Amino acid sequence: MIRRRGGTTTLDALDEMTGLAKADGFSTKEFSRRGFLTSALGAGGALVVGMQLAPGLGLLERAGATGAGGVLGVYVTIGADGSITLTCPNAEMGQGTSTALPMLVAEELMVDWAAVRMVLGGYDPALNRPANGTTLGTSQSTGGSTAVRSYHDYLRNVGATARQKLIWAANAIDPSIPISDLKADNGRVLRISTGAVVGTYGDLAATAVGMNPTDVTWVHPPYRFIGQPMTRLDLPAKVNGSAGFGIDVRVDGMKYASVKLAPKVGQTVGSVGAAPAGVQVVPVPGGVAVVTDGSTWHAIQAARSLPVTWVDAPTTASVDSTLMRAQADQLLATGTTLATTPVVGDAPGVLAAAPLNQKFTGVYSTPYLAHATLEPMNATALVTDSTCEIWAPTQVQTKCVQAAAAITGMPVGAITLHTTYLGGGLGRRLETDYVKQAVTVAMAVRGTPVKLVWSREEDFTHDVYRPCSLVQMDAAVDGSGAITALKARIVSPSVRAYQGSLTPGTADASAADGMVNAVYNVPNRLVEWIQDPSPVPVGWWRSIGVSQNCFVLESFLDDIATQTGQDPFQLRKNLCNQGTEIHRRVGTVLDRLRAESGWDAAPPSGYARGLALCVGFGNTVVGMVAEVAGAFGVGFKVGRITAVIDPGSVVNPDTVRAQIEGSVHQGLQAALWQQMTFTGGTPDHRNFNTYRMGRMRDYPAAVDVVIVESGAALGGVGEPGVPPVAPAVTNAIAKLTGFRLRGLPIAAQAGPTPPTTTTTVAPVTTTTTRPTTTSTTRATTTSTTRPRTTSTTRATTTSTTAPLLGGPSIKTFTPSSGGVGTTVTLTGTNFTGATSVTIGGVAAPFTVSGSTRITFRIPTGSRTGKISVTTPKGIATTRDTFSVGR
Amino acid sequence: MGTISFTVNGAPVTVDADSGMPLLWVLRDRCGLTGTKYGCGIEQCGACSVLLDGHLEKACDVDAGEVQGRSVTTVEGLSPDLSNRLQQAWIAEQVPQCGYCQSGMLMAATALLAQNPRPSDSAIDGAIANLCACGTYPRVKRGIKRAAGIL
Ligand code: FES
Ligand code: FES
Repeated sequence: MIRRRGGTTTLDALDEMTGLAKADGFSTKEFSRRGFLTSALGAGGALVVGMQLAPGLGLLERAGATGAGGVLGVYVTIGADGSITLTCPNAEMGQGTSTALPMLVAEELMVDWAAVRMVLGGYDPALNRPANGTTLGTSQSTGGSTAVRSYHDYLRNVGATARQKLIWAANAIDPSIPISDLKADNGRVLRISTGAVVGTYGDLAATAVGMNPTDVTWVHPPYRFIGQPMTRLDLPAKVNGSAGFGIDVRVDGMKYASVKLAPKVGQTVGSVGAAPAGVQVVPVPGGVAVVTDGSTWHAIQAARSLPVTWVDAPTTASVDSTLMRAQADQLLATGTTLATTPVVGDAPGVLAAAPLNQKFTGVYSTPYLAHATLEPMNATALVTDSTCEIWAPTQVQTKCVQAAAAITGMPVGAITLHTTYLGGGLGRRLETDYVKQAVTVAMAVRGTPVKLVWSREEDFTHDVYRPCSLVQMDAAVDGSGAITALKARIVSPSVRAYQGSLTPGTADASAADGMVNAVYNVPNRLVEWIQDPSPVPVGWWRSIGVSQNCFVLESFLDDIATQTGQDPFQLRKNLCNQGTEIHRRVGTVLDRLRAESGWDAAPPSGYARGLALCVGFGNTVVGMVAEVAGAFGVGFKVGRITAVIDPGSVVNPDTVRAQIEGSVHQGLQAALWQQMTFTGGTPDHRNFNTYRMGRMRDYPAAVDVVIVESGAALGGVGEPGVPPVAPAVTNAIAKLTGFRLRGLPIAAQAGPTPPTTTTTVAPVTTTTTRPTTTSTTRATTTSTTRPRTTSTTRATTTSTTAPLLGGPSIKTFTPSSGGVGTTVTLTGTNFTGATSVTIGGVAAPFTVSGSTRITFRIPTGSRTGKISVTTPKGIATTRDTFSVGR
Repeated sequence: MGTISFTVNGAPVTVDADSGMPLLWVLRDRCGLTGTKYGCGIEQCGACSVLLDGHLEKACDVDAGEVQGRSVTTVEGLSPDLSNRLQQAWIAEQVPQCGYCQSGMLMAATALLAQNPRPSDSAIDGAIANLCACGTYPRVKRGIKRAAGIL
């Protein structure tokens, strides 16, 4: 709760769970909890002394009001009781930087980890992403898997400076002890010669504030924290409900707002009907907001029922997946290309000269994707005549404040922004749209705080989607199978163009990321980019262009390996043969992956393995092997994934592990099911009922993460695990079924069709080609036969907007009670391929008869409960319970 | 607007609420218990999971009127001091990432262990249908098994 006192506000960091224990003070009213640290210091009258920390660190210092404790710059606060509070300058969206960054400071500060508390830093230029170890950059933002590597040197300096200030303070208090005889140790300064404690940090902090040490150096390994799996500082608050996400912000006297945004892409508001009494309508970018008393639910209801007419943009009707795909096909064939750099050698020349039986081609596609962070977009704002205060789950504090300044006409100095926890970021919260809306509404209700929350439906339908892409790959090999030329032709919308930052006539480098800068040393390489002018809003999605290009490149390489009879590990190693540091690291990762995945042993019965590699985000190397079972028409199941990651150096290995585990989930659900499609301007998915997310039962039974620490410079870990998942899975499917998938998501691709239907012959590059099903084969065959279908089948196979279609449903079960051993009959639909039947959570042996009937026996140990049927396409659970008697 | 009286985490409360207002929003915007999260509003994500008279329910699909006189347990009711065995297991296994789904996960896990004190992997797969966009599933599974003493 944020309470306003005397015209100022303090934010409750929701860091203490005291609310319900005091139930009498609770009823419907807010309850008071300890204030957000930095705000509380300001509001509580703590001394703020404008002293500079070490030269270059540019940090403001404050001594504690009582004369004990102190704030050694914006990052370090030491309580009189010795408590250590470290500021996280970045957004904490799950990736663990609110632990990794404090670890860097704490390592140098020589404190006990158990004494460390963390606060999320709000907007503060002193928290900007550093340009180097001593200089701040120009923006406070979180993205690109850059947090740890860009803050590392700077925060080590912050911690080391604070430690030396404390040592100097001990010398200042007792000048008889030379600085050379003092050392810091677990929150105390000791005399080296005698071991005597000169003072605790709490004793020394107030004096330390004024010190300007000139002997700041980093501690040496072995480290106490760096490289150790330190427990996360944000987790206690995340298991008792007290972690404050943006949606949890409450301010005294707050109103609730929600939005009604254009239902079709590009539409604008035509007219707004009358709002019910007590509901205020405020125009906001993209549509209208409604403001109510009561609750977020009341606001969402009011937004839903508000009558609004919309006016199409000229492009609205063109936002249709079928039309957009036809346009992309056309562009692939005839569009204006822009070369991306670097261009190496002469790929077109080598391809033209190569004999037909040494050329390969294939066309790949990836879909638009939603971010679908679990916390919907939201922000809270309070605008007064001279100030603007914002609470937001954002990855871009600086941008938000600049946007608020532009909207309010106030100087940046009048804007305060508090960063809350983020219920997922995934790149979506690099946008400021929802913050601008909250500030716009707060302007309209000046003097009253307002929390603006999007419904899930608005969130899905007003995302900035991961762009789609359509890519033609061409390669030539020499007589030994070595790849001599590689050419990619990428058609995709441009995120930079959507954001207005693409110089016309230049390529969007992000669209070619992971393709143009692939680690592979092919002597002739060309990546061409063709801008798809689709008006669909697009944005950064975890691992950005690499999420698409890694799928394309790794699939294509795998296909070439298969068709030339090469080992897929060896083919990749052959392309990383320059003896450079990164090539050596790739070789090490691949060797380790081969061993850890058991590649050379037979896979479990029914499974096949696929390999993929991703290098990026600061030269992090991730190799993955997926074990996949299943079949077209039934579905595929990933049983095990082995991942080997070399992020160079590691700060928190458990976080690296968790990020890879999470990346497997993110990559897998996108590979298997996810795509945002559009019909007549309208996004086809509005909630999780049709936009399928991976659940517990979908997660591979084993995900083994192996960390190889090569000692190279720190690389990112939040993103590089996502891209290799899809190609590892589709490469396994190719081996399993003999059929190469060239489009995502997998569930939307037609499998192989029987040869009898293959009657149409067309050249590969015509616009009627259906790229997702075009076979990559030696050019001699693709130029004469087209194995599968005509363009007329595309509508039925690529417009699959309902991955959940085909999920099971249970209509009846009989009998409704019985003891162990009773045979129960279920009727329903889509039971084919059922993988489990449970009663009350206990698995039962079962028999599927056709698609509409399952019989099972009540197993020993079962209890009364609902019956569930799981198939590869979903899970169905009865409404009523089956009673298990004795 | 009517008045609803019920018990939450052991404490009796009386709040102003339309009988059709979902329990989720009664908890969040009337009771100030923001641990229970909004993710979808249509019973798909489980972020709003609570116990109603001991049974797992999605609070976005329970009307305030249905709660009259009944007893609700939210994540805040597990324990404020992290002494609950699932909370401890969650810390030990370092389960949460962004944390947004975790209140619901903890409530679903609480309900599962009440029904099935030693759940198998497949029982966990069958019982925990909550969405976690961060993909903490393997750790949630380990957390449940640790709390059950079968890790
Ligand atoms: S908010 Fe209730 S299930 Fe998603
Ligand atoms: S921890 Fe982020 S959604 Fe589950």
